[in-house]
Amino acid sequence: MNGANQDPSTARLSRSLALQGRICDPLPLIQSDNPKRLLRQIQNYLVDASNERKLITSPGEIFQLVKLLPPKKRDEFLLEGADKNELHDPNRPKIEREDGCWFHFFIIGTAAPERSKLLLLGYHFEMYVPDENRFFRYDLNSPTGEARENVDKGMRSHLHLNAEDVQLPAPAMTPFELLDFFVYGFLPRNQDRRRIGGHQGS
Amino acid sequence: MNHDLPTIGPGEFVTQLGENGKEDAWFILVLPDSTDEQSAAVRLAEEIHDTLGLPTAFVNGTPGPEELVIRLHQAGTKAALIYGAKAYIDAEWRHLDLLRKQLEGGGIKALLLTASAAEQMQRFAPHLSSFVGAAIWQLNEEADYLAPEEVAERLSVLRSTWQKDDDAILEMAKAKTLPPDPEFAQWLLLLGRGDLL
Repeated sequence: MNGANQDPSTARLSRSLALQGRICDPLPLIQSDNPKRLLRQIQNYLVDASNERKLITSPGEIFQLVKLLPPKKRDEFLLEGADKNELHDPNRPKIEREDGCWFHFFIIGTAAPERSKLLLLGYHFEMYVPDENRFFRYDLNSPTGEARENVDKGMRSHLHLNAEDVQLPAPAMTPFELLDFFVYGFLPRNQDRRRIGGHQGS
Repeated sequence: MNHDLPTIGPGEFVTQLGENGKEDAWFILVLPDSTDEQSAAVRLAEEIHDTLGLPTAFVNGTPGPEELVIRLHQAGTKAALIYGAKAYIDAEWRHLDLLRKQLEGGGIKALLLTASAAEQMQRFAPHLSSFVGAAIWQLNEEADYLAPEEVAERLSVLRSTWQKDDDAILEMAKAKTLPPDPEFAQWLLLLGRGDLL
C-alpha cells in the first residue's frame, strides 16, 4: 500500500503500475483462433464498412491493403492494414474514411498453442486528419524483453496525440474495439460548432 | 486469354460469392496447375462457412457432364464447389453446354478449373461461358500475405524513420536495449526474427 514511509518516487511508480494494471492487465483476448481467421474477420469488417460508405476505400483495395506477414515456423504473427505513409502522401493507397481521414495499423500477436484464442502482444493504430494535419495513435508496446522500460513506467498502452513525444495513458483494446473507434466512433468536431459559446464566437 | 484473367484471393472471392451469388450464379475459379483442387475446395468451403455462414457441397464432376448435373441436383445446398471438370475432353464440354438448362437454379455454384480447362470451356461450351460472363478469376492463394517487395518497402521506411540499419536493430534486440515502441517489434518480425521479441 502507499504507506507514509514510501518515498515519493516509489509511490508514483506504484500508482503508475496500478494504473497500467487497470488499463491493460489482463490484456483483452483476440476472439479468433488463428491469424488467418483474424485477417479475414478484419477484412470483412472493413469491406462491410466500405459497403456502408463509411470508408471510401473499395472492397478490392481493402483486400490489397490488409495482409499478414507470410507465416514462419514460430507462433508470432504480424497483421498490417496499409503502410505507414509517413509523409502523409494522399496518393498512396490507404484506408480512407468518408470524411477524408485515413488510418493504418498493425497488430502483433501470438497463437499460443495451449489456448484457443490469439494473444495480443502489441499494436499500432494511427489516424491522420488531413485537413488539420493532425494525428493520433494508439500503441501497445511489446510486453517482453526490450519493452521492459516502458512497461515498468506503466505506459505500455498509450496514446500519441499530434506528437511522437507526447504519450498519454490509454486503455488496451481489442482490434475490433479499435476499429469500431477508427471507422465509426471517432468524429472530429465541427469547427463552427466547437466555437459556439466559446471565446472565439462564430 | 487466361493470362488476362484478373487474379483474386480466397477472401475476396468468397466476398464476391456473397455479394453476387444471391440466387442462381455461376463463378469460375482458375487454379494453378500445381494446385490440388480437392484441398483447394476444402479451404474455400471453410472460407465460405466463416464468411457467409453457408454449408458447402462438394460436387465431383469427374465421371462426366451428366453425372455432374445429377450430383449437383442431389447436393441441393446454397453453395456448391464443383471440381473434376478440368479433365473433360472437347466433346464433354460440348455436352455440358447442351445440359446448361439443367445447371440453372440452386444457388451459388463455383466451378474449379485449370487455365487450359477454362480455355476449353470458352471454346467448346460458349453458351455456358456466356452465362458465367465476367465471373471468372484466377486464384492467388498468396493474396493474404505481404509480398517480398512489400516487406522490403516497409523495412526501408523503418530504416529511414529511425535512422538505423537492420544489424543495429538486431544487436539492440540481443542486448535488450531496443526501445519499446511496437514498430521495433514489427521490424524484428519483418526480418523474420520473432524469436527476439
